Parts: sequence; C-alpha cells; structure tokens
Amino acid sequence: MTELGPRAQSLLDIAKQDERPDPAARERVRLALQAAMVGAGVATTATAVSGAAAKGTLFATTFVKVVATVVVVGGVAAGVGYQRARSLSASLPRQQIETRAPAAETPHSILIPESDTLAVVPPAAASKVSRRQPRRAVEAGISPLRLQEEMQLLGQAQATLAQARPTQALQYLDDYARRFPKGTLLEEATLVRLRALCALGDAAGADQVAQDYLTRYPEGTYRVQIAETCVPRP
Amino acid sequence: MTASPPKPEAATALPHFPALYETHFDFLWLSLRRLGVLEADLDDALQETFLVVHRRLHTFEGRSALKSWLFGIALRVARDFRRRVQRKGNLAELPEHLTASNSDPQRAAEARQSLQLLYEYLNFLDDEKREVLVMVDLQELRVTEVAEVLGVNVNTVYTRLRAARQQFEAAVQETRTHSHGGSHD
Repeated sequence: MTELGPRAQSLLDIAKQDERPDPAARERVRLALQAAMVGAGVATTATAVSGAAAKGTLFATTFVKVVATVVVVGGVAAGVGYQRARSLSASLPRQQIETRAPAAETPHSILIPESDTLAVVPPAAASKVSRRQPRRAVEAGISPLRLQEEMQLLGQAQATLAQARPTQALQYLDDYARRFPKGTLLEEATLVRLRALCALGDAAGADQVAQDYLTRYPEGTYRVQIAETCVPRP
Repeated sequence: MTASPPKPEAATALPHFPALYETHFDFLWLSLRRLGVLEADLDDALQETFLVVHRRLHTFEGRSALKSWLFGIALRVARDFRRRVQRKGNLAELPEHLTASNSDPQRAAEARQSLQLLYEYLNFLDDEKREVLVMVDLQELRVTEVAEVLGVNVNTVYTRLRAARQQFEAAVQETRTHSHGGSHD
C-alpha cells in the first residue's frame, strides 16, 4: 500500500486532531430538525426560542406541545409565520424555512422518542411559553405517539393554511376532529380552524367556531386571539 | 439440552435517535465537510442526513458498524450536494471554520493553514478517490467497512486508496516544489 510522505501525513494528522465542527452548528441543526417536526417547516422566532428553552432536554415530548402552542399563537396563518421564518434565514438552514406541506414521512417522531414520557417536563420551556399545556397533557396521561399524530395533522393544517390553501387546511382539521374528538391540541386546532374560515371569508362559520370555543373554554388559552380573529363583533 | 437461537443484535441494540444525534454529530459534520460539501451547505446537508437517519433507523440491523452505516448515508447526501454545486457552477471554496481545538494562537494559526492546504489538496482528487481517502485516512473506517459502504470489493477499495494517496502526495509535493522554487528565485 502506498504510504504518504511526512508532509501529507502531517496534514491528515492535524485534521484528525484539530478540526472541529462549527460550535454553533449542533444547535442550529437541532433547531432545524425540531422545526421540521412541526410539519410545515415554518420556523417562527418563537419556535427557535422555545427550542433554545428546551435545550438540554432535546427532543423531550413536552417540546411538542410547547411548539404547538407557540406556532399556533405565533400567527402562522396569513403568511405571518412565513415572514418571520424568512427573517431567520441567515441563521437557520434553508430547508427549515421552506413552507411546504410535509410528506407522509415527515419525521415528527424525531422529537418524540418512544421511551420518553410526558412526565419529562423541561421547566424552562414550560415557563417560557406555556405552563398550562404540558401540565394538561401530563395530567391526561397522553401517549407520546398519539400526541405525535395530533401534531402531524395540526402541522399539515397549518402548513396548507400558510400556503393560502384554507380549504385543504379545513380538510386536515376535519380529519383531526374525527380522529381526536378529545385531542390534547383541540384548542389549537380550533384556532387554526377559525383562521382558515377567516381566510375563506366565511364570517358566519368563523363566528360560530369562535362562539363555540368561548363557550366551551371560558378560560381558554386562546380566548383573546379567538375573540380578535377576523370576526366582526357588534 | 437445547440452546435457544441467538437474538439478532439489532433487536436489543437499536440506537436511540437523540443519543445518536449527540454522539455522532461531529463525525457526520466532519464527514460531510471532508467529502466536499461547502460550508454554506453544511447545515442543510446535516439536516438532510439526520432526517434520513431517523427515517431509516429502524432498518439498521447491526450487521455493519453504526459508524459506517451513518457514513453511507452521509456519503449519498454529500454526493447530492456536490452535484447541485457543480450544476450551479460554484467554485470550490476554502474552509472558513477550521476550529482548531487548542488555545495556543500560534498553533491554531498553523493548524488553520494546514487545514486550508488539506482541503485544497482534497479538491484535486476526483470524487471516487476523495471518498476513499476521507473514509480511510481521515474518518478511520476499516477497508472492509469502506467496501461495504461503497458496494465494491475490498481490492477495489485498495486500488482506489493507493491511487488517491499517490495523487494526494503528488499535490503536496508539487506545492512544495513551487513554493521552494519561488523562494530561491
């Protein structure tokens, strides 16, 4: 076998000893993977913040709920989320900011290792974004797998809505409602449905959804957003 | 006495993705970079690699080492990224990161210079030779593992490795000759 000369061998040795990845890359890619999990690949600033808050408990199940809350509240609809994502383009991988409907194989489960349980609550993430949601899920004893499926459907609805396809978004939401009539993300789904109806110009339908929400969840997390979303109030 | 059949190794040792991400991030980052993925594309290439890893993790049967299995995925992603760059006509870039892991500024500067040279020389090699040289001499995969990753026989790997080393050595010598010649003129 051909041996390398001392200079060539030295270059290889130096690379093996001294070459290290960009220290920030690990976190950037981690956030990109987490954003991909959300479904649309739409990364909001809030998503990144919650990802950073969840640092140290990477891929913990609770993060899924936190992200769901952040993305829904953060205004993915009407392209707002997309605009925010674009502003992150300098610091996050490009694939993360492409608004697209996720393929069937979108690896949402990246964030939900099967061995994890909802009892693993990163306090920093929970307090920074939403204390209520993770606790609700924990108390309900929701399985990570089910939550993952809920996230996938909701992510698809959000993605299509962000792409100005509210009718398809509603189809996803209908599917969600059929499969998870008592879903953990039901409130979030309602808010997305409301925005989809608004995007369609269905004021009556939106008003009905808003009224139902406020009746069902008088102390709901999104009552302010619901009340202020597109529905003209007397 | 009847012996129970041995359980497949993979059934008990399937890697856990989050742990795999932590333990193999550096390896995959360096693999992709050394295989010629541009710095600007590294995050995207890594994301793509880990998505594929996650999607296929359940198919890992433990018949090969995890490291070479991961490298096989990175190799395909790297090829794809290199093709995209070639289509766009982007010029080869010099590495910018070169984060030498030492606190001595002089040594760090020397390491940086050496790494820049290394990448220049690697760019002299065609893809087949570069891949083999990177796998064996930088990422320290065994020749049998390289053969499995590439889907070729061991003799082919040795042949490519010999040619890659010769070409790499020639590039180093040529540069030394030019630099020495220049200094004596």
